[in-house]
Amino acid sequence: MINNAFDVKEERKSLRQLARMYKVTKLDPAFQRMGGVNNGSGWSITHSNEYLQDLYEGFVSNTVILLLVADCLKYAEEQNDKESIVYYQDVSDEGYEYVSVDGNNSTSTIHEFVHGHPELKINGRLLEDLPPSEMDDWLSDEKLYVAILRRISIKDACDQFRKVNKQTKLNDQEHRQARWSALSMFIRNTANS
Amino acid sequence: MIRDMFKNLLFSGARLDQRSHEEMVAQLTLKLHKVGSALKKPELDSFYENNFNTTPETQKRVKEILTATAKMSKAGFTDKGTTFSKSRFSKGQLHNLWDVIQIIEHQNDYKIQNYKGMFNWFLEKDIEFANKSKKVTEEDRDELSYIYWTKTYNNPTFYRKTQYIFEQAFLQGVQELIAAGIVKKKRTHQDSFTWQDKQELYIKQGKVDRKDLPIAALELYANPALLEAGHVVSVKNGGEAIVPNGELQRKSDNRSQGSRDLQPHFDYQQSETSQ
Repeated sequence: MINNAFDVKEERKSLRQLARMYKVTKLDPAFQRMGGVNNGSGWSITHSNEYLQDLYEGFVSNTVILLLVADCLKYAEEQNDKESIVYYQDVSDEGYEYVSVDGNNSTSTIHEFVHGHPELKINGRLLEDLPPSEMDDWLSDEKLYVAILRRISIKDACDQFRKVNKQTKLNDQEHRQARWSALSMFIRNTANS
Repeated sequence: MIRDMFKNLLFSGARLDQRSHEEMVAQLTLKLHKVGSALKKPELDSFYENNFNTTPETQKRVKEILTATAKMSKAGFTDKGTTFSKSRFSKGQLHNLWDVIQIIEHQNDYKIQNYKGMFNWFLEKDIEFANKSKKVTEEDRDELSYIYWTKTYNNPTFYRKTQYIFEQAFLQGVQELIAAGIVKKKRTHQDSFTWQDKQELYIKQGKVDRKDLPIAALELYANPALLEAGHVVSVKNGGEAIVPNGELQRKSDNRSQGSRDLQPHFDYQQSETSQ
């Protein structure tokens, strides 16, 4: 599904690693939906709990897609793509290492569960009520695929976001805004100022 | 400020995350970008697909309208603990309010001075129009029902009708609104004196001000300005920016005069303003 021209590196990451990566991953409202456990366009608590249960029972095989900021910045500089240079430099200055393209709801759910979200449960139990050693093993051993894109412009990243989210039903306005243009930027910035 | 306005008047936090407010801003932008456009999904999709940007003038107007709305929303209730009841306000009404601001500030050159008063006026008219609509039959709905026009705010046939009745109501009530300090007429470039007018005033005044203090030609070239051309009969009182109604003044004198009229002092004022 992802074009190899973007220099995709696929890795398997443990749930604990994913929770750590989530903290340094930017969810960019410029083109992303405001998904995740604590945002209104993400999964409900019920969805997150269903996902955790499936993950625990081994029925989950989704791939998380991220942009690696440092490499993408280098690529933008090679290409003299000024728009992308500014974008990736800003993201880097904000302290992020990755930008989320897909899988934000799942990584957000994993991150919140690992940090003891009061409503996220497996088998009806919070993390603190589950056997610690079993949980420790599970969080270290259970892995998800992560596709890391290393050579991609911000405009192509937006297109990629729209493609991978075709199946997950962005609402009409999310779909319109997932377009890199001065118009979409003006509308977003004005509405949220 | 603008996001807060949407949160105060219409949407929950979740709806903001789903970009409902951005869709409304896109509709407003489209409405100003392409006059008479429908504001439904196909038109919005095409607006995004076919335009990399919109004009600076459209952007400026969108921002002015939203900023004015945000000021209204903020000024609405000053008591702590009293909030605007979102459940009673609709997207169609907010679009109508935006049209009203556009009608007042951009089409008729008035400036809103009292945002709470203006918001209240809008809501008052909205209730009056809605109340009249209750008697309208299903058959006459398209022609006469404000409630129906407001529900179908994304259809140009109907938003033009709401624009028309609000503009009529505004023009009928504008003198009362001015008297209440809610709006005032904007000064335009036609209300200001030109560089040529200032040079003529300098000569006609005999190179002195009304205190008989000399005016040096060099002062006319100062940046920032040391001299200003003021109105003898103020703009507020219908005075025009024409030489017989003008006077070259020191900036501090002009500013302390405010919008008060001046007694004619120089011959060209006495003779020509009295004609």
